Amino acid sequence: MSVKPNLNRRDFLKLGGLAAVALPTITKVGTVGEELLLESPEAYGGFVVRTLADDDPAIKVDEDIYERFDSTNVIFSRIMWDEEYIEKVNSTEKVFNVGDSGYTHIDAALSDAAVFCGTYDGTNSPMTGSHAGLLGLNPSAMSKPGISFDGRWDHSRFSPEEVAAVVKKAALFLGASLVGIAPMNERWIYSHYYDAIGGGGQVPIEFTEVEEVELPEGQLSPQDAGELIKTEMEKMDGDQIKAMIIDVLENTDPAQMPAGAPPVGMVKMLPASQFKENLSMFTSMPTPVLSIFADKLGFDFEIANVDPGESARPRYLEDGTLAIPETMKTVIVLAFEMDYDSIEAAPTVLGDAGTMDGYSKMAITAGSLAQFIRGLGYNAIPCGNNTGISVPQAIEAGLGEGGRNGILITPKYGPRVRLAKVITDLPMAYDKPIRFGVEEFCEVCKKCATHCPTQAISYGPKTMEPTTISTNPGVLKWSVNAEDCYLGWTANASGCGMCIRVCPFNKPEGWLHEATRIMIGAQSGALDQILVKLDDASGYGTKDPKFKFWESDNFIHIKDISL
Amino acid sequence: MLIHLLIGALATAGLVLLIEYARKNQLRVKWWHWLLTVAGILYTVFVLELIVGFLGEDAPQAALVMGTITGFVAVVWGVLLRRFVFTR
Ligand code: SF4
Ligand code: SF4
Repeated sequence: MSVKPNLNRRDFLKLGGLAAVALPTITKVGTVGEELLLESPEAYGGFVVRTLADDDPAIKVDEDIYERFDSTNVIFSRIMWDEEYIEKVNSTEKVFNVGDSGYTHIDAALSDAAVFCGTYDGTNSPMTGSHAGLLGLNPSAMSKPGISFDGRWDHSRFSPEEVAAVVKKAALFLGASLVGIAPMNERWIYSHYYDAIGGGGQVPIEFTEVEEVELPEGQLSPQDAGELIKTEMEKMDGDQIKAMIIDVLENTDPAQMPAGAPPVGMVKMLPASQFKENLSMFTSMPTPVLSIFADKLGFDFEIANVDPGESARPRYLEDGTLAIPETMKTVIVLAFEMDYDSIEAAPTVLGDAGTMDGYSKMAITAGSLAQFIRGLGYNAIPCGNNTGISVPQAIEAGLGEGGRNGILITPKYGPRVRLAKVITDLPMAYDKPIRFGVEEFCEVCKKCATHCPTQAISYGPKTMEPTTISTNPGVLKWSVNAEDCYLGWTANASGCGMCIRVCPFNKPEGWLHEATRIMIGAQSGALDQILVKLDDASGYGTKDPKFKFWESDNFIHIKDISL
Repeated sequence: MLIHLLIGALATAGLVLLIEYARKNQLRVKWWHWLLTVAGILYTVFVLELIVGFLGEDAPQAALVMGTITGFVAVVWGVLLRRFVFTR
């Protein structure tokens, strides 16, 4: 049975009520002009954050200099093509011994397992530019038996804020720690991706027009043909539909069948009623399969070899160009908390396990959220690090501020997050960028710069100058020297993460650090200096490297059975 | 959990002992002296919770530093109360 959306406003408000309960409660504690002062233990930890006024840009950009960044120059791409840099990487000496604390067999196995979903089946969320696996543009998945809805979710009766609440609730349910929504800002989308998997090298990413396609006389689009077939089949009973599908599956070349089509043996086992309930699958079947069903039903129309809706969908063009339709105007940014105890072990393989786990979560949640949006009848591109620069999009989505260490600092988890994005054409309300004292604190702190093993972090003020070709010029920020940073990773044979570990914003949850958060919010340079000194004196980020990860109460006490 | 109960029990016992001490020695303790005493005990509870909290975070150095800074105030508070309130 195909169900038409018939949720009335009252029902929705009930749902909205549920969403309001389940989403972090954000309280307005004051206003300064147009700016709001907000507080939420779940979303902002102990900080009171200030939203920026509409005319106050979250990130300062020099339009004369700035160009969309080419991700061929991202350090992970350069280690695949930049001979000179590859030479340096290869001659970097390792700074650890296998078996050292943080480099044991179980640490390595954990790190490897942690990134499993992030790289499984070509997903490659950590590095490369193309969308594959869980982050594919149109991943094939067998639809779950049950009810299905036609067309797009009719949200016309709901406010953009209500739509955003539904999407955020879904994102949190699917595994995000934080979620924010920003308007698409094309300047943060890479000009090119680096196709390492397909061997295509530097390939453009373009914003494409959505155009109406006129079909030749007498031809039907695959969607319209699918609708006709579906309408005809609605007149049949479940047994007849099941028999027809079995007949088609048994007599069709498997190569013509859509990816994810069920094997005939499985179809035979399913109850006949299920076929009647899932007739909407005919609106998205490939043309050759539709033609077979059309013949069986006695239709004599021709199905056009063009898809009029194609230009509205994200896709790879023949030359590999990633086409993002201009109608995709929203970016949902997801943040994933990395395990505190694991990051305490940075820079080691054990420390890297926290980062790697973040990559897997990015792939699973961004992929699942994109599938949720596709299920609502809209388009979605799930992205890990690829396709767009994550940090500025996260800042514009109100998730935090940019720190001296070049990464996002969130109020709740500090820099201990990984980021993913879902680009979509589902319209919804946007969040506002926030401030909570990071910039002022970073000016006096510099702990990340001091503790960076490769001295890749600047001690100076923010600048629009790039440090290497792996940084885009024209954006006011503290930029990290990615070349030096990656050499540090190479020396550790893993990631590094020292600048996350030592950052005073990286603290476990709890009341202990609330007072500090309030004092940082006061944005006083003198107070910030005292706080940095106290943080240093308290030994944060520079604790004894006997990692407590494997001893943590959250896990089995294996220290008792002697490692 | 047990440690919090223990801190609470110690604070209560401390207050009871002070009341006993004042009664036995027939000290003339004014109402605002009691207010300062209760505030001092609550502050000491805060200091102990702070130390326990940092130890729970596996940050013994932070427990030592923050315990010393905040504990110093608690000690001064106690000495002043002893000198000016609970004195025969
Ligand atoms: S990851 Fe390590 S090497 Fe890279 S900037 Fe941070 S501290 Fe420095
Ligand atoms: S360590 Fe200090 S300077 Fe570096 S990002 Fe964190 S707060 Fe800013």
